[in-house]
Amino acid sequence: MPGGGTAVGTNPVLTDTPTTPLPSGVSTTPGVPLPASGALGPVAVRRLSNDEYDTTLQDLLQAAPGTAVNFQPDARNLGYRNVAAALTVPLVVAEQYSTAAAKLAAQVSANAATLAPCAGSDAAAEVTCAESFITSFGANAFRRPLVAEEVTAYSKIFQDERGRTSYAEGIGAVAETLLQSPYFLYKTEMGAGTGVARLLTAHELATQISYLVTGTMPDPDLMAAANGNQLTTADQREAQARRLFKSNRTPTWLRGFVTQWTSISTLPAVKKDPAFFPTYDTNLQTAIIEESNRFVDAVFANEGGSLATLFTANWSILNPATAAHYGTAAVPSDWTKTNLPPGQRMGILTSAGFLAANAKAIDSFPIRRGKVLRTQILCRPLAPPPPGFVPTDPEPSTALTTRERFAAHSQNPVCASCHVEIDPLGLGFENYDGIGLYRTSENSKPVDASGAIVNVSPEVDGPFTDAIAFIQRISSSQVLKDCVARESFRWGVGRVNVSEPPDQTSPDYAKFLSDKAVLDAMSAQMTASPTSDIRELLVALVRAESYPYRSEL
Amino acid sequence: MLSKSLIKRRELMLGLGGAGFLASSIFRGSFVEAQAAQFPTRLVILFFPGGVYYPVTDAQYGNFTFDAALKPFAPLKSELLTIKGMNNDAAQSMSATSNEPHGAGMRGLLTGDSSVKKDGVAEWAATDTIDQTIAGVIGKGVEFPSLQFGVFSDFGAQIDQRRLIVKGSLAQPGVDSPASMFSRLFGDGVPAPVPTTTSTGTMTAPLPPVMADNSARKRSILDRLLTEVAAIKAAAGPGEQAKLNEHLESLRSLEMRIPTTMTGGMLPVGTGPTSPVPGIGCMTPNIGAASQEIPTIMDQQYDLLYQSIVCDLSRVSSIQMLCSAQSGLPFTWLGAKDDHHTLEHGGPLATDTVKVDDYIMGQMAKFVTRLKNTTEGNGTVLDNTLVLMISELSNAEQHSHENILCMTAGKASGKVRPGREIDYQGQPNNLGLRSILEVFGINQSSIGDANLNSGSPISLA
Repeated sequence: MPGGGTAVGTNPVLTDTPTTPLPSGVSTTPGVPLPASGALGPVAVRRLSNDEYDTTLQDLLQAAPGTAVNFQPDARNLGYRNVAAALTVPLVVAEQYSTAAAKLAAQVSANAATLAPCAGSDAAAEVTCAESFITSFGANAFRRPLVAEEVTAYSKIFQDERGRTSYAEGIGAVAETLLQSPYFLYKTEMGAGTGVARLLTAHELATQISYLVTGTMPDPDLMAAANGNQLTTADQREAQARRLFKSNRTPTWLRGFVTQWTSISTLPAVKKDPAFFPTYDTNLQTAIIEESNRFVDAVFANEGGSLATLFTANWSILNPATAAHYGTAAVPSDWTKTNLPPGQRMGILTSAGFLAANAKAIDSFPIRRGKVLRTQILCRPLAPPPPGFVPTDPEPSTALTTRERFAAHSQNPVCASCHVEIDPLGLGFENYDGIGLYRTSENSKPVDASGAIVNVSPEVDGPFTDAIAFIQRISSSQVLKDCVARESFRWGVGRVNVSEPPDQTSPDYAKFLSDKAVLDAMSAQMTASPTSDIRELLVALVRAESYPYRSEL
Repeated sequence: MLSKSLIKRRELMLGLGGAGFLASSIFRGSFVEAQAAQFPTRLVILFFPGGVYYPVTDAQYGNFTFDAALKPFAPLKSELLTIKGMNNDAAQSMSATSNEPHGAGMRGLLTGDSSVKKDGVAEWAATDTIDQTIAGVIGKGVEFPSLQFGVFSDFGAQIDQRRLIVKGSLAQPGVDSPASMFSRLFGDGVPAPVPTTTSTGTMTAPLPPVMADNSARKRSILDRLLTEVAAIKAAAGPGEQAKLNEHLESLRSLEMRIPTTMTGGMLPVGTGPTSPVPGIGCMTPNIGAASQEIPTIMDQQYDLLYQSIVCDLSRVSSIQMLCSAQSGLPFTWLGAKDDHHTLEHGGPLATDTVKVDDYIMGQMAKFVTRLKNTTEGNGTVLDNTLVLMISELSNAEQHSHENILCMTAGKASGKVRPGREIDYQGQPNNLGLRSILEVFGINQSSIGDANLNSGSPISLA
């Protein structure tokens, strides 16, 4: 334990009586005792993301996919679209939920005879049938059993609507309410009681595990485990997570992590100038995205989620358009595993998706690629530009290569001090143009794809001859494993890990140590996996001592 | 103007459709009757990033002239009030701490709040943006308390560079999709309402029975949702209160759209806005097909914004064109191949930057002109509106927050006297924000950072 500061998990406030002032609004009741590594976050509610909402409706109601396809997009921060703090319900979002719930309720009403069958036709029998629907469908919607007050309240909604219209409409009104309920829309992380520190309920834990691994509501087995309070130990949680790896929802869900981590998911929004890339049209863009998606899906479905395979595969899942883009020897039929040209491609970093997304409209823009590689793939910070800094992109040229156009960064000492950490990474990918086509020359000059890793770690620092060499160096490195751990934490927990505050007496210091404990466990789990299975990161997360705890401090 | 659900039912009842109704003698007759009545005052904020890049003699430090940067506004000079000499000081102090001038500019611009960004997710201002404060006063009784339109507003790198509007310590997203906005405002395509004016000039309308039944159902659903959100709010931590308050308020807005008591089948007076149907311009717009091109989306959003005003769907609205430090979106149709952030820094790209600035200025001028050309009573829609045009940076090349470009158009129902220039001589924009609040009858001795409020707002009247 570093000298000074608070030891992890000991919190003077959680002794009998708080002795330090609490932030305003925080309960003065201590709540449950926290473990040594503290809590995973504050007492919170996390709204379902649009993806989670859409998938959940498919599983809850057999809704057709796409309920949320035109919804207000979820806010994006530091690469991910599931930032808990930004998943809110402003008016535009409440309207969407309301409209969607009304449409789905109409379908429920139309199918009331199947969803809420009722043999008797007198009022009392109908109420019994309705309450049976409320209890069972409600438990699925809320991901926990309803309490008596809730059953009574929803029964009243049914009865009032039944009185106005019909049995089927009464059932519909119940569904319409449940589908807009905060207990449906939010994954609660509140435990029981109102203390400063809380332990998640079994049902809340089931929800956390399910959405982490599969992006949807708990399946019947997980729900049964919650009902039986069988998620209290790390072993039990791990067993559920591993079982869910085999869910048919999981590969697509985890693919979302990878495509956001690598920024491939931003490709639909990246414009390319047709004057510079005349062959790049919507069809090609769609194909490139589809290829990346299918490649990552295959890594999770067939290759044990291997980080090594993700980064070093000499194959992808191609169709004729993408095969032509890569210049493969074989021409595959649609979406078939195909070998890539040897020596030219290696894994996700040389995919057209990665290369095109991390470039600009007119060129390969090695600065962006360098920045993404440094900050997102190697997880190293970049110092901000100096005050008064005036960035200007170099003019396009028919005489100079891209490397030459950006030479000012290394020649000008003001620029070089920072750019020495950025440009040599991106310039190592100069064999791939702004839409990911392979090239050995540019403007009739040979491409120089040499680069260097600077100030990352003794493990990986040093020059390299080209992107392939770079990938070979990093793909089994601890740097990469630690980085994917951090990124999957951010994606999985929906927030950035707390960075080390300069002052160990800061209240953030305990939070920093809590997060560090989780990250270290995730890295260690990844390192211990002989196949570098990315999913092991999620196992480590659900096993973490702090995983079931939440605290305001 | 009644809620769109009422409009749909009215259409069914009367079998009238679309623009054909507007041409009918029934509508015109009622409109003439309504002309003597008061029209609502509105606020519209038009935001563009990065100031304007013009040669130093024009744009540097507030010497905007109508023969260069503001050329598209030259014919509208008498309608404009140029507010020069304001410094976005809240942004300046945030930027000095975090070395991030763009997001700081966005956050300080309409709040005057200099709260500093936290690590990771941005920390939003504790102060509401002035449009939300104003909506709290004038945004009642219409379907949307406020509307936030966007044109690729959600397209920048950092989240605080993409969000302009703040309410209850939460950033309010702009709706970037014209199709989504259309659906919110006009549902599945609705015609103009059938006004039935009484001797007091108030609109009422008959309601079919099914309307009443649906209302009770909607009310019982919303009642339950409000109870549940309140229960979660009581159990959740302090960090979640802003979120859940917002959720409650959204549900309350939905609830306010439900007609209340039914008396003899007529909608009672006062449950909806009581102003008569404004402007002959109200109609369901035909915005055309979806597109991913800036100019198309810009046109569609401005069209929807215009209709939302003349159909009295909202009295407080904003359009956020792009976002601060926006990268990745070139302006190829103008012949400028770089993105806005690159162009903001001008330099060798100055001629391209000027093309983009002219385009944005032109869009704003076109919108102001359209309001001016829409009659309303004895005047125009512009007469009854305050259009605030503003940017978070002045000289973006230098990341300067001094002398931000700020103009208003319109008379706000007589409370603003345009056709002149106001000079704050280097004082914080907090004072300018307070002068705008004053236009709407809101007198605050301070807004945002208390240290930035000494000095007096200059009245716009």
